Amino acid sequence: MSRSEAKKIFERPRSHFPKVLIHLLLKPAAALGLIFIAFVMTACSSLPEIKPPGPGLQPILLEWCQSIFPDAPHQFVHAIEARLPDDSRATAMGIVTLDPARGIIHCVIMTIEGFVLFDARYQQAVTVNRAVYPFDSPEFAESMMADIRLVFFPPGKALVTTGVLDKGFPGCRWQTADGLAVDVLLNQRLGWVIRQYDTSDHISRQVRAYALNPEGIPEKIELSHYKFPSYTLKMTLLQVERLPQGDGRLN
Amino acid sequence: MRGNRNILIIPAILAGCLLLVGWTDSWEQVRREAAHIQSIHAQFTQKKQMAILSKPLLSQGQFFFQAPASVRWEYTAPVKSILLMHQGSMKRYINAGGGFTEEAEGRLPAMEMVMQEISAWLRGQFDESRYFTATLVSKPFPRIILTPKEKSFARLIKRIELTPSPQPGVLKAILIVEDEKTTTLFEFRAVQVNQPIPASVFQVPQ
Repeated sequence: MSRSEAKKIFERPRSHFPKVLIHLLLKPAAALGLIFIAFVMTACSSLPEIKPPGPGLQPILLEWCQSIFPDAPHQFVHAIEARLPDDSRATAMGIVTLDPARGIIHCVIMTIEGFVLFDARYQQAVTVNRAVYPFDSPEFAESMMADIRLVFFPPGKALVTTGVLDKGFPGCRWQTADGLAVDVLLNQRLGWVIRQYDTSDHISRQVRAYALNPEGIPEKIELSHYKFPSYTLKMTLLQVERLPQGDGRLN
Repeated sequence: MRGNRNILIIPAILAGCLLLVGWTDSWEQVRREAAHIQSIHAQFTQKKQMAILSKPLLSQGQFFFQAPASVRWEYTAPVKSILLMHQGSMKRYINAGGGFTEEAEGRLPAMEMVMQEISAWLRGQFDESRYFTATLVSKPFPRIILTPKEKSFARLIKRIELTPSPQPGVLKAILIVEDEKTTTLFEFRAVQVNQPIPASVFQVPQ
């Protein structure tokens, strides 16, 4: 069975959707992505059961789950709208340069006027090159890098299982080095959701990626942090560049 | 100086710098020219260059000024954003797709400082700025160099360079140098001086 055939198996049949959603399926892909995300969001707020996939599907599912993460050095530029705990909003631009093979992240956050607020590099540990209040705390730097790792890097080497969640979405479950569970939930056309759970198996962070461009890169990403201080980052892709191996900007 | 004030002063600097149209080679002349300016409208392109970027990050927008102290600094791409300074208030509005919404006010506590600076610049008193030392340079080409006075600010911005256009009364560019590899260049075009600007330009965007 090919990977595309396997994906079709996991495409949720339309007949299972309520009528209103069938109607919305005729809308643009971005709307579909939101529906998918809404489904996943309401699926469960704690660690859900994953049912085993059909025979022979486990490696295909794993490959699919891993395919959502960049497999080569890339640079992403996003417009970022932050929704803060008091429901206020702030906007910035973000540049993320990363090398998945070496686990390197270089992150820059700047104002729309181009003033650099935060510039840091991660390779096993965070090195802050520049940080302007209120982005100057070590906790912010650590949390920022954790957010970026969750969005762009596979969750860990310890794959727990692959299968189908209770709402019918295929996915994979990893365990991080810290012992936390991370689920990746997939939809072939609409995007994906990444959930990180805390030690009590409640969702602590969630990434929703949708509006995929022709290369399969999400033009919209929403990252929600549910623990205090809770926030949501809405990221809109402005430009993306695949970098050559050994690019000097990653050294 | 706390960082949030530094953040705020960037658009204020940009607004103030555009008021320097017509400056020549003395502060007295800058003041005389500034006294004649009632309004400015210009288009701009912003080029952000950093070592991490293979090509500059480009933004575009337009700028309005109306005497005595109304400013609209507007980005049209890639992020739609409007910074309004009008009647003593300063607010930013973001359009994320569903119309303009006001940004968090928590970032605007230093408004008083910013407005004081702008007020001085409006009078052409760049050499009396509390935060910058201003130097008129004629070689190799005419510029005004602004250097932060406070060490904490100087760690974030090394200098600001203002370059006039050969066309009288028009500013060609503003270069903000954070470090030698991190710069923001604003290039202006279609500058209109003392043309009427509708009052709605400085009202809450719809």
